[in-house]
Amino acid sequence: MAKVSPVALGAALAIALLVSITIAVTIGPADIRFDEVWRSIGSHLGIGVSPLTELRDGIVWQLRLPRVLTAGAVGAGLALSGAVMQAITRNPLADPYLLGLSSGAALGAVSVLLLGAAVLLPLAAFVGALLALTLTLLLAGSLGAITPSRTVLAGIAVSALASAITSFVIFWSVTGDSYREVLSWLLGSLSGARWPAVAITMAAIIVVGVPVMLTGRLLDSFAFGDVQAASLGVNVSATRWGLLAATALVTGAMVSVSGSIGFVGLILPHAVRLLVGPGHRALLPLSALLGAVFLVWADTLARTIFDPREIPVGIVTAMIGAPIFAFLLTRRKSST
Amino acid sequence: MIRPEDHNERPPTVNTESYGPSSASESSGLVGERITITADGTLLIDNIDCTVARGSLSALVGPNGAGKSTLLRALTAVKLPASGTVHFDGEDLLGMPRRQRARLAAFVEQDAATDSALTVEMVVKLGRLPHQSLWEADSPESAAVVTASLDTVEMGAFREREFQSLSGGEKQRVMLARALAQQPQLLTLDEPTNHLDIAAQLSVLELLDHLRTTGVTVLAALHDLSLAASYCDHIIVLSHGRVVAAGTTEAVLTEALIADVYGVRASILRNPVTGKPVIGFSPV
Amino acid sequence: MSVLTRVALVAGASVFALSGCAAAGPQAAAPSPTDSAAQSVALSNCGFDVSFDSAPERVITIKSSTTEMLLALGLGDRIIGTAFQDGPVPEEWASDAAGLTSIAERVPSEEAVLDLEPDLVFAGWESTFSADGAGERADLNALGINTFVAPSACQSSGQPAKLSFDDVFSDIEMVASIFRVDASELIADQSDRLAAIDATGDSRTALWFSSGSDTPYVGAGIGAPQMLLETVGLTNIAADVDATWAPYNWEAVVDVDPDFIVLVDAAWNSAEKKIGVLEANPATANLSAVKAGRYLVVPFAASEAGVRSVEAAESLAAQIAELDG
Repeated sequence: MAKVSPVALGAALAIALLVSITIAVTIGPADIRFDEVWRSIGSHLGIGVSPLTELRDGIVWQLRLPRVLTAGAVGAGLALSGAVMQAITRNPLADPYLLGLSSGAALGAVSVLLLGAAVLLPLAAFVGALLALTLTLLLAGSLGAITPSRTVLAGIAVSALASAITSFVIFWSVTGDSYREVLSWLLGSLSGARWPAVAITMAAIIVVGVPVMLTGRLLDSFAFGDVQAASLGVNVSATRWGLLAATALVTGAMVSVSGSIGFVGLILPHAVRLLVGPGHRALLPLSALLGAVFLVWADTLARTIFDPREIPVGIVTAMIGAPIFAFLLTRRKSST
Repeated sequence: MIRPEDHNERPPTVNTESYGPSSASESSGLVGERITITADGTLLIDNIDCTVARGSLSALVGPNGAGKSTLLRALTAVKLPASGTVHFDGEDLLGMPRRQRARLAAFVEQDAATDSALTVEMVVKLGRLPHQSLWEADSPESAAVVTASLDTVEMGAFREREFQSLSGGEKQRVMLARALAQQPQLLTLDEPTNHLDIAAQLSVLELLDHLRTTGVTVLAALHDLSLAASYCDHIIVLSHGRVVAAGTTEAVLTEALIADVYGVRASILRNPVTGKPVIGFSPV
Repeated sequence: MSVLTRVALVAGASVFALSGCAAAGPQAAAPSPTDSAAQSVALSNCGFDVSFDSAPERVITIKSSTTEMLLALGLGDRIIGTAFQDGPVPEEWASDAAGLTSIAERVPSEEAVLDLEPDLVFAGWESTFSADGAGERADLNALGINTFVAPSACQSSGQPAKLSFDDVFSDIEMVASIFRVDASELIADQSDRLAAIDATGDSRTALWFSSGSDTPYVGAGIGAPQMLLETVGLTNIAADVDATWAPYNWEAVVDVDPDFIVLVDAAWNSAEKKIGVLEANPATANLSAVKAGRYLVVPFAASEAGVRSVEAAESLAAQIAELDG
């Protein structure tokens, strides 16, 4: 039962997102005033002149702004993908990485970071993710008709395999402090997010994510299973495959840029569900919005809480998110 | 208990007393012809024809494993048959675009189960899907249909309740309301009285009977012969994937046929209150 | 966390200390060597009690710092095998090093160690003494093999508040005492050279860039990098971070705009690669040190506290002078 009006929550989250971006971009180890930050940004957009030196201007325009924008996009993409995966697999514990996507991406990333493959890291991660997904689907298909549970099981198998290889590569080739880069990637980090990352993640959201957000009604129709969905006029297999492909693309893009940030895709859809109920028309866009706000702040924390040291944002998402979810759960139990 | 050897020795009696127009293209009502369904190499439905008159309340009966569910799904194109055609009111149901078909025919499955926390209203709203595009908002007309459907099944007061929290009978009514929200001409149901207590069973069938009077064609797979005999004017008897008999209840439900198909001794009695047939069983 | 993350953390944890370029610590209770070579030398080394009844004769050295320390003390003939070396040995000891055999490119397995029947395993990183590495110290002891960690690399205990050359020299003395040799000449030589170093840094700022690309891993406030930078008169921008090495933040680097950038040159992460990283990042590409090419290069083996520390400081001072023109 909806406790909160979806429209009201949506408006609140949209505003929160704008406010969050506005503020997060002004926070950081370097001491730059709020107005200086926004005048600097303005100057890049053609409005006025930057009050900062070229170098400090670079802090705002090359480091902070792309990073905050990427955080928003990645958070939105992961939360959206998580919500869709949970609906497709009818499994509340599904996350966007379920089908081997993050393990495959990790293997791709590690091969660049440790084995020195001469490929761009995001590309290697993306390719790794899609290869793992392909393997998952092939494996699921070889067991007979592809059903959600078979796909999940195949995904677990492929993930385990990719993880094993990744671990081996790490043990074998890591040296000195290169393990830190690997671990940072595995835990999920936005420290490398520059404008190309913004382009990749925004493109994923706009081109794939937004259309997916509109399929809420279709996802609702799956509530009672395939047969009932088909009787409502839904093309069950096309819908399922299409959404799976879309989710894989979005997740692959996000993971290639930020590593496997955990928790966002798994828990945030549940948080939204607790607030507005299970209807997917509201759940999908609201999950995306909440994901964006959440990750913007999680990343801001990750890069400032131990100023000037940075920690991977994946640590923050796990440590902050879990108690919040527990709290939401207890609130719900006491009110029903 | 039907022994397979019985059927090897005696070919099934096919008594398709036609009731209604015989040509598919010009008939109204549901007409299935030469339907064959296989799965994993096993023949489930063997080249059958069946007809359901428009505006009738018909029952599909037969022992477990006869193929009732399979046939129902084929008739509503939820799972397409390997071969055969299905027409409703002269229109090809199987070849129709999905959404158009969903506006025409609704299907209520056995034992509706979900792990989702949907409310009753949300479940019924699902039935509006064939009438709505993905992104359009819920219109007042849609809302009115939802309300009307809920009222028809007398679940209006349960609107905000969580579907999972309802009793078996209440859930069945909500699923019926969902089907009604599709505003179908044809309503098929697979064992709608399963796991329901007697009062609930009767109320569901009363509802179906009422629907019939609104012009909807209703075909329900039922395992309770007395219930079928009580409410349905026409019965199709299925056994081992073949139509053994089809026609009016009086004509079809004979003690001989029941013994033949179900392997038990049947005695057909009369309900003193309703005057409808009641079947009593005893071992052979 | 996902299964992968857990696995990675376990992997990382056991590999974790491999990253430790930790600073040295003065040992607790380190008695000075006596005249009699027969007297047992007992020490606490990284919180582990060791005793040497006689000078070791069959030594396996892990990491360049330990190999080079023995070579500097003229003990090259005691080395029966080396492992996990960080680069070529400096010229002055090259001839002595010529005959040394490497038994493993990375941390050797316990069996490989035992196979050579050493009486001492001398490691440059404390983490190499693990069950899946060269072996636990207690286990090796039980088999009659002594273990010793380069004192400056202790992590579990005995890490100093701040590493100084005094610590480095006392480490050399400690090793000399174990082997019953005289290090006074070596130390005197190094002290003289140290005193002769011109603090050409002139209190300018420097970033000690050890590794990393998205997140830089830098020399921080209490380890060898800090010691070297101070010796040549440079101010470490990460001096207030209470660690030997630490993950840092490009924004903080850009904010300060250091005058010099020290690049640690390792076979697996060269100075060239680091320059590439700096130039590819649009924010750091504008750093004045990057634009002017004010780079100071330190070979990895010399960046850890040991017998090459003085040489590293000399090199840094000279490079600064050269860049200053």
